[in-house]
Parts: sequence; C-alpha cells; structure tokens
Amino acid sequence: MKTFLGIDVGAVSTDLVLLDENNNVLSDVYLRTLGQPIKMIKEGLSIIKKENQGIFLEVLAVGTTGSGRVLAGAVVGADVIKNEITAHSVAALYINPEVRTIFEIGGQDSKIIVLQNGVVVDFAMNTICAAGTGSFLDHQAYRLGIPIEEFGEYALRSENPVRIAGRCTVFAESDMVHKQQMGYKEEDIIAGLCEAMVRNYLNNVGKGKKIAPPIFFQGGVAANSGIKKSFEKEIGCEIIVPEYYRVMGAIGAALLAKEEMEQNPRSSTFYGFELVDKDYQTTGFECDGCSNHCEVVEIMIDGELIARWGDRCGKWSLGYQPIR
Amino acid sequence: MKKIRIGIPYALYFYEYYPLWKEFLTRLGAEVILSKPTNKNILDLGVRSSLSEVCLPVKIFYGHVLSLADQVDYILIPRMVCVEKGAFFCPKIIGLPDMVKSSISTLNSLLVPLVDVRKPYGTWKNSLFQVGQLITDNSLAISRAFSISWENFQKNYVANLLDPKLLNPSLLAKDTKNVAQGLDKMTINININIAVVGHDYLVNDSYINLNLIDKLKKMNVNILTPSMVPPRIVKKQLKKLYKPIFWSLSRKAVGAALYYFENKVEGVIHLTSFECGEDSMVGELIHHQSKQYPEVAYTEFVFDEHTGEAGINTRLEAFLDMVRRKKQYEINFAPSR
Repeated sequence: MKTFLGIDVGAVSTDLVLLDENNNVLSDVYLRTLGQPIKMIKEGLSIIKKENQGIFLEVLAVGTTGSGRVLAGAVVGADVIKNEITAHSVAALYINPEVRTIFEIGGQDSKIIVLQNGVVVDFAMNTICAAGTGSFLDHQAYRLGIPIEEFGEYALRSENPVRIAGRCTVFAESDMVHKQQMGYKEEDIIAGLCEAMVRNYLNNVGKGKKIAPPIFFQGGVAANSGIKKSFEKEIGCEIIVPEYYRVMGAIGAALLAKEEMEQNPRSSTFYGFELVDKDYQTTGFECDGCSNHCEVVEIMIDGELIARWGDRCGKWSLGYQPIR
Repeated sequence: MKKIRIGIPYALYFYEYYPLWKEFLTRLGAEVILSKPTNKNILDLGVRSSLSEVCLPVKIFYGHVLSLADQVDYILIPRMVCVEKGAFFCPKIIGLPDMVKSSISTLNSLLVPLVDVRKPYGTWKNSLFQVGQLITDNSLAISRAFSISWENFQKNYVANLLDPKLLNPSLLAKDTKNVAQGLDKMTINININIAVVGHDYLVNDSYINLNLIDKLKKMNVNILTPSMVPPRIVKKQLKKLYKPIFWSLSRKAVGAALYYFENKVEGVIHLTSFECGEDSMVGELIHHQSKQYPEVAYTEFVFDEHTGEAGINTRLEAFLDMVRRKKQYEINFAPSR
C-alpha cells in the first residue's frame, strides 16, 4: 500500500501518523516524548508497523515537524522538514478549507494562526512565558492530585468558576493555593484555572489578532473540554476540536511531504521501518575554534555520522544529509 | 611617541556614529580599537557586570567595554542626549556612561563627551573637540580633522544609503572589515523581499539576532534594512504619523518600516529586544501601521539572552512559508494586486 508518514516531535509528545494515498489516517500514534525523542520515534514506528501487520507499506514520503523536527528528520531520513505552524495549518485546511482561525496549544508552545482563503495571513507564538501552555495545566493537575485526563470533566462540573490570576504561572499558583485555603470547591478552582489560561492565551498570543469562525482547536490541550468550554464562553462562538486534534501536526507533516513529492517527484529518502533496529548515538562537543564555544551535536547511526549541527559559523554543520 | 589607543565598543549607537569617531580620531593620530563583534564571551562579561533590569543590548555594551579594558588607554562612551530637534536618546543611553562607571570600578579612563545639540557646549564640534584635545594641543588640527570627518560622515551617510528601488544594501561604516560583516550586494531578480527593521544594533549584531540575516539569506530572499532607506525618505515617511517619534534611534526604523509597507514588500519583520522601552511604543506603532497594508506580512521577533534558536527558527520558517504560500495563491487565483 502506498503511504505517507508524518512525525511531530514536540517538547511533550511525539506523534506519528500514517496516511494512505487518499489522505485517510491508517494509524495515529501519540507518545510522551519524555526527553527521549529518538527512542520515541522508534517506538512509534514499531507501533505503526505492528498495527498494519501483514500489509506491505510502501512509504512514498516522510515529513517531520515540531521543535524536534531537524533531529527527527535526520533520524528517519525525512524528505520534508517543516515548522509546526505550517504543518498545523495545512492539516486544518485539509479537514476544513474554510477554517479561519487555529488555536494550537501544546506542551511548551501555544500558537494562533489566522487564515484567509485557505492561506495563512498571520500567526503568533507565545514568547518567553509558558503560562498558557499544556505544561502549566500538567503541573497544576499534578499539584491537585487529579489525572490530567480528568481535568476537563472537573471543570465542566463547575457552576461557579472562581477568578484566578492568569498573567503568570507563579501568581496563578499562589492565587490557586489561596482559593483552596479559603475553601472553594475543587471543580470551581479548576474551571477558574481553565478560564485564566484562556484569558492569558487570548491576551498574549491572540493579542490584536482577528479571531473569526470557523475556529479549530488542536494540540494536546484540546483534549481538555474545560478549556474548550472556556474558549467558547470567552469568544462567544463554537470551537471545533477536530477528530485527530492530538496529531494534527503529524498529519500536516505527512501532507506536506506528499505535496513536495507531487511538486518535485523523486524517491523518498526514508530509511525504512528497519531503522527501529538500528543503533543511534548522539555525541556532542564544545568547539574551541573561537570565543563563541558553540555546542556541537553529532548524530550517528551504527557508528556512521549522519548529521552534525549546533555551530554558529557553519564550520561543523553537515546539516542533515540523507544516506542510503 | 606612542600613539594613544582609544577603544570603541562595537555596540548600541556606535553602529551609527562609529565612522565619524573613527575618522576623526585617526586623523588626529590616535589608534582606534574597535571591539570584536559580539560573541559569547562578550555577552557573559556584560551579563555578569550589568544591572539585571537593563535590556540585552545595554548588557552587551558593558561586555564590549570590558573586552576593551586591557587593550586601550581610553574607552570612548559619548553621552548621547540629543542630536536633532524634538528627539532624544533612550534614557539608558543618556545614562550609559554613568551606569558603566558605577558598575565597573576597574575601568581605565572613560572619555565621556556630551552630545546635546540644544546646548552650545554640546554640539558635535565641541564634543569631538573635547576629545581631540586629549590627543593633541593643536587646535587647528583638531578643527580641520573635525571638518573633514564630519563632511565625510555626512556625505557617505547618504552615499551608503540608496535609491527608492529597495535594492542595493550596504551598511554604514564600510571602511573597516570589522563593521562591514553585514550584508552583501543583492540583486533585483529575487522575488521575495523581506524588510528587517529595528535598531541598528539588533539588525546588524548577528549574535543578538541569532544569525537572522544569514538565515534569511539562506532562504533565498532579498533582505532590506532601515539603513537602506535614505534619511530624506525616512523624514518624509515619518510625517505620516500624527505625532513625531520621540527617540532618535527609533526614527530610522519606523520611517523604514513605513516606507517598506508603502512599497509593498512581501514581509516586514520588526526586531525588538525584551525590556526595550522604546520598542514597547514603537513596536505597537509599527504593528498598528501594518494593518493598513494587509498584503504585507508582518511579524515581530523579541530577543533576549536565551541562545536557543528553535523559537526563532520556527517563527522565521513559518513566516516565510506564509509569505511564499500567499504569493503562490495570488499567482494562481487572485487578480494581480
């Protein structure tokens, strides 16, 4: 079967998607990165392989995205390495060509993408602060002893959300502790947190952006129905969470890889599913060629150097060269 | 006789005024030592010795000063207050000599001429004269050196900047290889023009801006900077605003941004440093103006101490994808604009 593979390596999750020729999702895998992107990419590939046992998978193109896209690209031999903003918008546009706004909230990043006539016309990413991201919710859920998966349900049960300062994670937390000590109900506090996060997102990331429906909400945080509800309350229109919200980046990467192959036909540089059995090592050293002391990283497969980067001057960079 | 060695930190306003000082001091027989382009060592030195609240470019200025300390007899840090009517320098720049003095006690002599053209003793001529007297007693020679370097500074300033066809870049201070690490000659036939606007010390310092210019170059776009917009055009553009810009060093950036908007380049990227007071106003202003030109993509990059390039790479790639896909769409579907 002819297929396209998309891989999204983010700070928190590593997602893989296998599409067939008609862009139907054959497999989607969502794994926690846990700081080990290479291991998770391998694991994801073996899960895909297992799910499609007995079918001959011919991978025509591979695309990677996410903050770990370059590493992922080197590890699998990607044909296309794209940023996650383009990937997310391409995936959303495939599902609904009319989409005007995309909220994408992941583990470390939150983004807003504004589209017109099926083209991105504006976007923004959170700058230095991570207050409006999944990590913040993760942390608060852990503090409250509630599994993150149930966070949304708690929030939905609330009838009277308390107001929590959303400007900064640190302040939000102290505000939350204070409200707990005052005896407010847990679900009201959680709903308050969701509202604070949404306010923070709209004020920081969404500042000055034209938010028009249809609005897509994707990324890991879209699993949280409390956040979705808060968005709807704040903006006053329906928020659409697409079926594959968690792996939209990977879908976008696969679609971009397919697009690239259509525009510039060639055979894929993908190393094949056998790469899961290969041994990857990464080593690094500090270059002492000048006073910048760049930290150079090397990626090797079975002892063979495949990529090297991290230097400012380009003396060491091999970028990433697919090998056969 | 041994030449007097005068150090010039390669940071902040010297991106603008270095050529003037360099020529003047050299003509008088001093040896001018420009600090190296910003590197990790300079950043570390600066961050360690400066106040935590100041912006990154000021911290880096400290680093440049310290990196010069053992090599020179004097370090030049003019107190830049006012060079034109109705506009001033950022308070941190006005107070720069004092901040440096109070934070770094081990420094050799600082040269702190005042440049405040509202005051008779603060004119450029007086300011340079004061410094010149350190080098020689010959007033006539100082006067002559001033006239020539001032004239050349004015002349080249305009000569370096270019006609309104949005092409041909060149940076100020072409005279030294050190400074002219910046942009190469570029050609018309690249079809995507990206304007990078902001303070010169952000646009031209590839350490602060994480190699942005090189990255753009690799992406095969035509890069435009504020220095490529001639002063008279900047002036004309600024008249569009309902109120004049209060800060001298921001004028060029704003005027250039307006000019590039008007000429419908494909994209404008505004560079700002975190904690920059001027940019908190100017950034909003440019953003606001950008809305009148929906066909020009606009974004803002904020720089701080972090050297992780992932954030900037993602933004840059996404920005260019946006520009390219939009262009593709226009070619395929829309009537020409």
